[in-house]
Amino acid sequence: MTIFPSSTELLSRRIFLSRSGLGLGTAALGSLLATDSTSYAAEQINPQIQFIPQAKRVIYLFMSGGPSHIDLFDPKPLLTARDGEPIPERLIRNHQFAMIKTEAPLLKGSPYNFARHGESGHSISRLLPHTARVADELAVIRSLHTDTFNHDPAVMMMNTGDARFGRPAMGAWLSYGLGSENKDLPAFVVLASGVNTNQPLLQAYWGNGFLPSHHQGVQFRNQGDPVLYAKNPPGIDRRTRRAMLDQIAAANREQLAIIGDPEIGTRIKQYEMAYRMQMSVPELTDLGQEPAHIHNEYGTHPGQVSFANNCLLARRLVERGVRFVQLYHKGWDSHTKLEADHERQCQETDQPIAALLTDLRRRGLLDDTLVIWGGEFGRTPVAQGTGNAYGRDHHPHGFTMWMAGAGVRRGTVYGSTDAFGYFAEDHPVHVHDLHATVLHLLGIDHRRLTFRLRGRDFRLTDVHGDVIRPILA
Amino acid sequence: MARSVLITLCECKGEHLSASQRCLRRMHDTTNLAKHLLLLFFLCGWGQAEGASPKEESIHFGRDIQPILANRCYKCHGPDAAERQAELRLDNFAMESAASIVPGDAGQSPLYQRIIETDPDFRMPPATEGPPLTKQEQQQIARWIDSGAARDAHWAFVPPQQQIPPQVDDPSWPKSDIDAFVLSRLEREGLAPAPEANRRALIRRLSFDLRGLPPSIKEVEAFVHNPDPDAYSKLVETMLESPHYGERMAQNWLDLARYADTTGYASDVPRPMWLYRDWVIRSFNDNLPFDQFAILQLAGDMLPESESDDLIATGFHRCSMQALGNNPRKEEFRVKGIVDRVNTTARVFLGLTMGCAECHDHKFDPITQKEYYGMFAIFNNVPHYGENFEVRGPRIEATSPLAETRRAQIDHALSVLRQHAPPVNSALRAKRQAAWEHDMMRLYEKESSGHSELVAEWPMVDKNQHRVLDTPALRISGDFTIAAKVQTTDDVADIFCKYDSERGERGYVFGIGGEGEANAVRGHLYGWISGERDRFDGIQIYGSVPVNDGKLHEVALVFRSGDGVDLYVDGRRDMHARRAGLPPDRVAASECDLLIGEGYGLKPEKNKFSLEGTLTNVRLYRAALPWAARSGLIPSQIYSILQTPRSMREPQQQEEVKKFFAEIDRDHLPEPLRNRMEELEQERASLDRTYQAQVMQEMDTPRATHVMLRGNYLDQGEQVEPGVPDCLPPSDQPLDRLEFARWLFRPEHPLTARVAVNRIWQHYFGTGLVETADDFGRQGAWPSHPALLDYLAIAFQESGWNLKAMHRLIVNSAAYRQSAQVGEAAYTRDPANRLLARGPRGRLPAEQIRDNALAVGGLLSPKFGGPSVYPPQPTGILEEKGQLQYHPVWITSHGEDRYRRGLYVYWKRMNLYPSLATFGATTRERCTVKRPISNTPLQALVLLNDPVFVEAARALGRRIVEDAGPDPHARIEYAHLRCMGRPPTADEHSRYKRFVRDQIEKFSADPEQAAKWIDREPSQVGDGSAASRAAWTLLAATLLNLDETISKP
Repeated sequence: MTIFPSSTELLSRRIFLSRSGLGLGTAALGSLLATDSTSYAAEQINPQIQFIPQAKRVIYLFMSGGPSHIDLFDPKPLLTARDGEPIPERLIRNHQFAMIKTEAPLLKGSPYNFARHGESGHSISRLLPHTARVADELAVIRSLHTDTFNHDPAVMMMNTGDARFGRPAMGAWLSYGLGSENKDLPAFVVLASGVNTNQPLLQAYWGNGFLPSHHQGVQFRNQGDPVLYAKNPPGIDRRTRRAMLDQIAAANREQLAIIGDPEIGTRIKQYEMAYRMQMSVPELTDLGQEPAHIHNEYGTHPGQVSFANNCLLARRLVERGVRFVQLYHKGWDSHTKLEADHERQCQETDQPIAALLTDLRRRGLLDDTLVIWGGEFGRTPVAQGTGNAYGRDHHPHGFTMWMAGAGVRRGTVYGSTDAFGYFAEDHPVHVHDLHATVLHLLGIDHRRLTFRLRGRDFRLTDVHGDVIRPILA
Repeated sequence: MARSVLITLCECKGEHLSASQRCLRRMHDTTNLAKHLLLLFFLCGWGQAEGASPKEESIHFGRDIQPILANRCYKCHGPDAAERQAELRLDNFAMESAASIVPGDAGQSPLYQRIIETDPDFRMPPATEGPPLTKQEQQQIARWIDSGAARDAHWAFVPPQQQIPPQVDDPSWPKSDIDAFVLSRLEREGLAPAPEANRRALIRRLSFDLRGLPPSIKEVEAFVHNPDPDAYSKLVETMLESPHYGERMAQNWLDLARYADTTGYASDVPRPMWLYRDWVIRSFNDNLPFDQFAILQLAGDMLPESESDDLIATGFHRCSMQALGNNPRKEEFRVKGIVDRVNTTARVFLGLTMGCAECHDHKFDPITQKEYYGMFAIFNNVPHYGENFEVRGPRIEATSPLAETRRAQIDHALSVLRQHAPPVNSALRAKRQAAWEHDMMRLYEKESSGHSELVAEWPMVDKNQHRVLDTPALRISGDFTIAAKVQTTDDVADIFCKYDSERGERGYVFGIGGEGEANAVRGHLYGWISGERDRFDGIQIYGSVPVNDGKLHEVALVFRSGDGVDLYVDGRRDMHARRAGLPPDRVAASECDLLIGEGYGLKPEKNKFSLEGTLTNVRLYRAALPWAARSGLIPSQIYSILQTPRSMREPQQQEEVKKFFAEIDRDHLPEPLRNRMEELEQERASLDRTYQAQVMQEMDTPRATHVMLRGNYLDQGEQVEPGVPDCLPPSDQPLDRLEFARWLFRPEHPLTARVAVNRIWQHYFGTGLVETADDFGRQGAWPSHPALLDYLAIAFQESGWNLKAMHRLIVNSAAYRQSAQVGEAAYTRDPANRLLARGPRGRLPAEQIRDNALAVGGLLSPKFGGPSVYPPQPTGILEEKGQLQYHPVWITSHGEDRYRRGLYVYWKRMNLYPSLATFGATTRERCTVKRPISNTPLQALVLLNDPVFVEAARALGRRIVEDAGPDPHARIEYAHLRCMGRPPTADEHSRYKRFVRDQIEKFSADPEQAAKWIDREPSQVGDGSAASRAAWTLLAATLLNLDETISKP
């Protein structure tokens, strides 16, 4: 017997999966960043892909700052009727607001009309005319709730299932569990846009937590190289780079032969991947290749930093098999001037989102791509501040998100908030449930995608999470 | 296995949240469990345990059984009383739980019956807790019960035992006691150790491990050719004495101490911590015994007569993150800080993951929640001041702990530089002196018409603020100099302002603290010079020296249009001033009035940034006049001599002036030499300065500590007294922070020494003898060489906690000196090298990758300690994430600070320096005991394309061409030696020769590319030398990318 099961049972994920004869073949696991290295010995993964995956990849449209559910997707006539009255005390008993300091904040109805759209009859506010066009694609969940009301813990919660720093983001879990379908690109890509507010985007939002570092999200930047250092230095063209890489490979192969450390073999492969990435990333990010009608549809302008450009880039990324694309659009945190802020945010995001769904549908990609829309929380049904400059505070107790695409029941509304849009009332959906559902759609039992650390099997959903079956197709 | 990633975090959130929920769900199961235990006890037949092979080793509870129980059973049947199901306790088999086992008879034991049960409704662990135990696990348990079910205490809670090195079959191999333990194990496994590595590999391995730097060619060759049989152990001594030893060891410790330059969380603002970093470096170099090292860091403030260095040491526990801003929950984040201190202390010194017990009794280790808060109480008495962005703990102002060391280093360096100075031509010097005296006189002749370039002078005798109506003469467009004398304690104050951004009248401004802008340093000089009035387009300069110490300073700003800008303090050019943007060719003609001693605010009538104190002798020259800025260098007696016309001076006075001038005259020196001397002199002068340090302080009245129910700071349970967990030796003194620190070093303490030596082992071999270096609890790994671990722990204690002695012991062992060139089969058999049948090889840590490239290129700065530095990083890295509001933009360091060791790079938690992050450096949000090791294409991109590495390649290319002679053979050998410490083989020689020849050809055909690659203007390299240089630079870049170059051999 051995006292080092860890050394002798070097069951890499690849071996495990090929042995277990599961649906996802080794090709799917040949992630860009996931060639077997000894660090892999660390990964005692047991993904147990139990279901036939509906979705192969995810585009997550993260509305950073917290969009107002009651002004977009969750109409509340009662709120309008009682606009200006104090909120019933029972609702806010023992509740803390993030910013509102008044004892009896006043209800604030939405200034925006809602209308029903599509066959499904989704109620959508006039701020989102384009989304309304694709209403039938959406499964709207109106009963989300989360644990925390400050931005960074809430974003961490939404991304990692824990408000504290240190856990892997959903994209990292998926990279770890499924790898990438494209060996020239990372499995988890992050894109950012929107106004600069005082809520910076933190690397931890797309961090690998305790998972091996190659699972962390790679941010494609809007300026300079899309991927850091993907551009050759001045004076080095592709031919010269190739000649140099050939020398590096030859020397590394000799080392591998002399020493025998498989890490050297991994490094040889990683240099080749880097080379391919240098080729594929500029091609990928060159939106100028898209025809005019696509630019019209999305509202894109190559070279500009915009959410629209990122939506189009997201399509190009999933087209190439990137597993998890997360778009952050900053600027939703409307503590004051909610109307001006939300009108701007919607104007920036509405058309590109509708275009993205339409485009994915047209290309057949929506059949196996899951699109998620939402922020870290919603906004209060009560006003923060008064007069025209009113805003709404952070609201974790009930808010809206939607999903569309692979495996999602189109045109559904699930759950509801109370008459004031305050608490998730009917079929509350916790963030953990959302995570469980996303993993389920990707063919993973959320209870089985685990990483052992200090004697505990960690997972995205901690010890919680129920799949929201009614929204599954 | 838990080998990979030991980043700390709170483990167990969710367990408690779900407790009630799960209780309900499992009530049914639980009742059944109790029933079935009984039922099975009477009814069930024999289990299917297969008899253990008699040849196999005997079962050891702690090693073989406890991990299974801990992983799969303790959650519900362990130490946590709140979660315990069916009153069954398998961590101690207390009371009736003993009945779950019939010693000697697995088949009769309910425990065994339940785990092999095939009906999933009855099987343990239940399906909700994952799959059944594996066949192997089941068999182990059967064997253990069959052999009598003996239980011993958890090994790590029993004090280390004296160990006699075992007998080995091959007595010729061991060089030390360590080797006897290692070899005995190898022989048991039927393996043989690898042969000793060659000397080139050995010196390289030692150098990276002990200094974090590659050995120089000279060092390598000297060692390789040293006939002394003790050459190796002598080399070890040399390296242990190197000041870089402290830097390398500090790098590990700073991961543990979660040292960073920012506060973390979303605000992530700067917080000066580096004095602590320098204290750590010095302590390692001084070989401060580990007990003192630890006690000072945990409680240096509580020692009798503690000095400022002792306080700086307590920065260890001031590295915790701190949320700032308008968050209403200041107390919550204070509590989080204490939690971080408790968890870090436990992880670093006890090797325990106590984090679980923050919210509930520990599931696996015998640590109750109450005991956790006993530890919490020990750390709960540090004052916490301020609100919002001003929240902070105690601080002091102190000089750097490295000041003395550094002063000696600088003096030595300066004396070496002076030896390199070219001889002085005395006739030329006399001429320079005459010119200088002339200038000085004009400068001080108040009554005369003044200097021809002087625009105006404002004596400012009885006031500090003055408005001068705009005139064309003040709208300077080209070179200019502003000089003044200032004495103030202001953080932010303008001195000379022709710059009104609110009303689109930007021009130039000089002052202190950059009008409070995030980029500026409070109390330091700054200047902005814009080429456009309505928007900023120009250069910003930020000084590195504070001028607000209440002493009189002569300050100046010298601008050369289209060329550059400098700041001067007391006649000394600020060699470390940081600059952003480019100097405009024409300064914008701002039409606002000139404000002296203040600046423009939001409203035109309301000026801001008024200088308090005294401001005098304000002068503006329409020329770049360094000497005007340098008058401050003149001592008063020289000044008074200069007042006397030459002809009227005494010969002795004349001599004095001459001597003084000889001291300050640098014009005969080549510019690099002059710059270097000025840099060093400035640094030397800065060593007397004090800087802010974050320290611990004990409140006179301790806070009352309560158990926080489910970890919620608002939900207080019973009050607890300071204490340590019962599973550890008791303290005979009432516990406070100091007593706790001393308690760690009680001779019978089972953990402290083991945990520390294990980390030292990990430093060398990549993995500790206990693989889970931060978890010696029941969930942790069993040591690979338990006796060796105890041997080292006792040796460490007996040495008086002598760190260098432990390093010496390990690196002198035969185990460490083995070759790593053992072939693929060996790596496959034991990937993590737990059996130690080969030498420790592996990719260098992130900082060493950088240090090595800079060293090989000859760029690395030897500067030691000091404020953190900002090497080049891609623009927009912080901006694009919106991290601007509270953050300084990244203003790239100037001069040698661009080339400092990775250790000194500004550690921004929420946006770590990209190349360090790519190679696995951690953000240090929390204590990191072991960094994850990764191998990604992004790393390849850094080495290939990051401008820092490109610059290193260019520098190496230049050296190859300039230092290795014209012969390609010699050049290749030189390059290879620099990068890898060994000459190339014949094959490598011919391959690289061919490569360079091809590249010369290619670059010759495309001289423009060649010029770009070596960063020259095509016009500069018309003679065809560019192609050759470009090709050699390409070889340099190639070699810098090799696995061998970035690995410890």
